[in-house]
Amino acid sequence: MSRCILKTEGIRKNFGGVVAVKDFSFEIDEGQIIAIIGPNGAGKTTIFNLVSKIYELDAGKISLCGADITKKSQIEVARMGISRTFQNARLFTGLSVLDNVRVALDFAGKYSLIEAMLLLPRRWKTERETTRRAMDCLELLNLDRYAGQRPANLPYGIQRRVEIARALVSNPKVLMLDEPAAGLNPEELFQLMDFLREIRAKYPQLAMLIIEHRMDLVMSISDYIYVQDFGETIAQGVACEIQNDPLVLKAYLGEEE
Amino acid sequence: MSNYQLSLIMLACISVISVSGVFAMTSLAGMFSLGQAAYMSICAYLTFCLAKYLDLPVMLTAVVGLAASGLVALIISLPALKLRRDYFALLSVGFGEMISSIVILLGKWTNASIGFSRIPKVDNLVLVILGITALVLFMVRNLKRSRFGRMCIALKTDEIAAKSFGIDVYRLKIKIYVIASMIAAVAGICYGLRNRVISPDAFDWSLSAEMQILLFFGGTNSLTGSVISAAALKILPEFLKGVSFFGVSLQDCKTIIYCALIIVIINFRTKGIMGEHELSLAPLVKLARKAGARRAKESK
Repeated sequence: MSRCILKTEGIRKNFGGVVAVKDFSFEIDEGQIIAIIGPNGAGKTTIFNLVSKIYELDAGKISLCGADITKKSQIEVARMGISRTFQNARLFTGLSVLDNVRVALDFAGKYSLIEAMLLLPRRWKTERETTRRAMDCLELLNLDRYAGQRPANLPYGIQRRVEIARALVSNPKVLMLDEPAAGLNPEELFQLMDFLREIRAKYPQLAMLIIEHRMDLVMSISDYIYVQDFGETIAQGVACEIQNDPLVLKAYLGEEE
Repeated sequence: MSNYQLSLIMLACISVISVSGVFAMTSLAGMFSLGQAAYMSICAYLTFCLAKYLDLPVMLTAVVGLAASGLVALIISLPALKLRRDYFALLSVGFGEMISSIVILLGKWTNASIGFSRIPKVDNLVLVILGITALVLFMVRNLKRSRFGRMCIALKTDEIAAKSFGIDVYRLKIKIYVIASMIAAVAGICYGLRNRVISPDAFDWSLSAEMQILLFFGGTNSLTGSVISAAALKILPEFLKGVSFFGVSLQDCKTIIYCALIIVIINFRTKGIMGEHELSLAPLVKLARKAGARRAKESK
């Protein structure tokens, strides 16, 4: 039996009169890949923002490895091992690709401000370790040759991959990918699928939660799928069940005349 | 070197120290403050007044002054850094004015607007100040290249994304603000030692604004750029002394010239002269190595 990593029970978020997420419940086990799909405005990104605590919950409960994290702050949740990417690649433009990845390890860096300013030994040791881990992660995603470049100068597909590297480097328990394939061309999409498989092979414990529109990606890699529409879960199941669900077809294609 | 030249070098050094503090705060962590001169004031007054009235060595009172500046910075930053950036900048102006008023209120000891001039003379002051400048620059450079520098640039670009990588934005800002203020305090001590007189006017908001201007002129994200501009623009007016147009010395037009420069920079080079580039010796070293390799080949 694999262990349940992340679990939400009836989480809800209203924006004024609009119910963005209505009583969403799900759980994800170690090593599982779960996809959340649904048309625009279905509240998918809001779910991510609730889990990563960028938004406060209006109701419901979130637990990580059995511990209640409903009241934790955004920073605490991130430090506990819930990592995410953003819909529009929010890379730190002032930092190089390598630094973008290193910065995700920096909150736990083992040297103080004084040690940093006086270049004391612990600073060197920690920096070497940080750089090594970041480079390993860049190599995994085949990004090592871009290490010294600024993300703004790179093609969009590469930027999205840098973002995945940044979220992955701290060895999180849960990796949440918000539309990783958005804006990618077919070739880049295939590469992305390969990389996701490689990540899965390298981190067998990692639970992945993916929001995606591209059905080919969702159907090929996810173990379980939730379909959202207007904040509600209208269907859930494995890929072949979802593909033939009449409610899903209706939400995506509109009603039959 | 003549005393005048030495005095110019010290002037440039003091400017460099204060601007490198502002660099840590504004360029790295994105906090825009117009009150950094207040920390120069706090530290200078504490150091020299304590030295005078308690008859203690300046070395000792300087430590007290530095610690006190750090403490004041900590107390101010706890509430102030919860504010949005623009309100923080506004508040810093108020803080600067407050410190000036306190200095005047304590006129019995500080001599109010007339200025406090019982500052001991230090031998070889140029060397001392040059040493301090080198040390401060070394520390700020290391800060930029450490995990703190990276986290600062991350939080400056995107606070929400920074938080989602576990960066405690609020605490980091406080740390940087305290360090930046203590660097300003160091500049305050040097200022006092060089000028041998300190007055509240010397540390008013225009000095804080000047630091920001020098920083932006040199390059918003370039330590070397802002250091060069801090030194060059600070001593430039001294050379304009003799130059006059229509009977008006250019030195009196300092503010006008600064403002004109800023307008030009803002319009044509939004990130300052150097932008994000740092001058380094690496290309020179590379060139030397290449030349060495070529020579080795030829000799074969």
